[in-house]
Amino acid sequence: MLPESGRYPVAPSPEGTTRLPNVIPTVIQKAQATYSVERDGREVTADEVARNAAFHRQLNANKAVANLLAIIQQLTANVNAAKADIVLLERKLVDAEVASEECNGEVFSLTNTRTKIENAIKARKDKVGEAEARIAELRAVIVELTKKRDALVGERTIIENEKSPNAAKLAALEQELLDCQNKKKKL
Amino acid sequence: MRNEIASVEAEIQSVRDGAADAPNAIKQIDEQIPIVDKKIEDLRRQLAEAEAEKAQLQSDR
Repeated sequence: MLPESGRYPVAPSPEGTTRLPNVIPTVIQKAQATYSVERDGREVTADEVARNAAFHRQLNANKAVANLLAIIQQLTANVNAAKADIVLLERKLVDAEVASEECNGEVFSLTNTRTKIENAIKARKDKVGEAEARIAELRAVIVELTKKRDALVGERTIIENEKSPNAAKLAALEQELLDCQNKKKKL
Repeated sequence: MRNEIASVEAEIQSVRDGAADAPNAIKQIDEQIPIVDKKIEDLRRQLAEAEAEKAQLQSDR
């Protein structure tokens, strides 16, 4: 605060050997006046307005430049990260292509295996069908041969019963012939 | 009478011929029956083999 006298106190000029520290700077620092618009203010000039405007434009331009630098820095970081990602993604793409080829090969192999299995099943079914046909054929032939065998046995029985040397029937016929011959002589 | 005598003589000859042929016919039949039996046995063996093959094919999936 400005003293009532309107002047800041001034210490006496030092004389002789200095024994105490100089307190004047401290006094000046502590004794600060309050700003008053009516008293201390003044009209703003056109040049000051222009300078202020120029200052603000320059400040805004600097901010824009700073923003552009920040954007460029971010873009650089993005580009570098993208370059690193490209290498990684290219490696993953190669791996994916290899995996895809392996999958295609596996699918092809499984398809072949499936075809082989289907063919084997069909061949097995065909063999079962052939075996069933053979069984039916053999059964029919066996039945037919059994009938023929029974017929042979029956024929043999008939021969044994009816065409074997039958002494009784022959004797009866010879007796009948003898009777006929005797009748013939009597006549 | 002659006709009756001729008929009886023909019948006697027929009986004699039949009796004469009977052993040969029986012999032929006796020869054929074992052949037929063997054939039937062979067919039954083939039938058993075919059924076994079918069972094997159906069980061996």
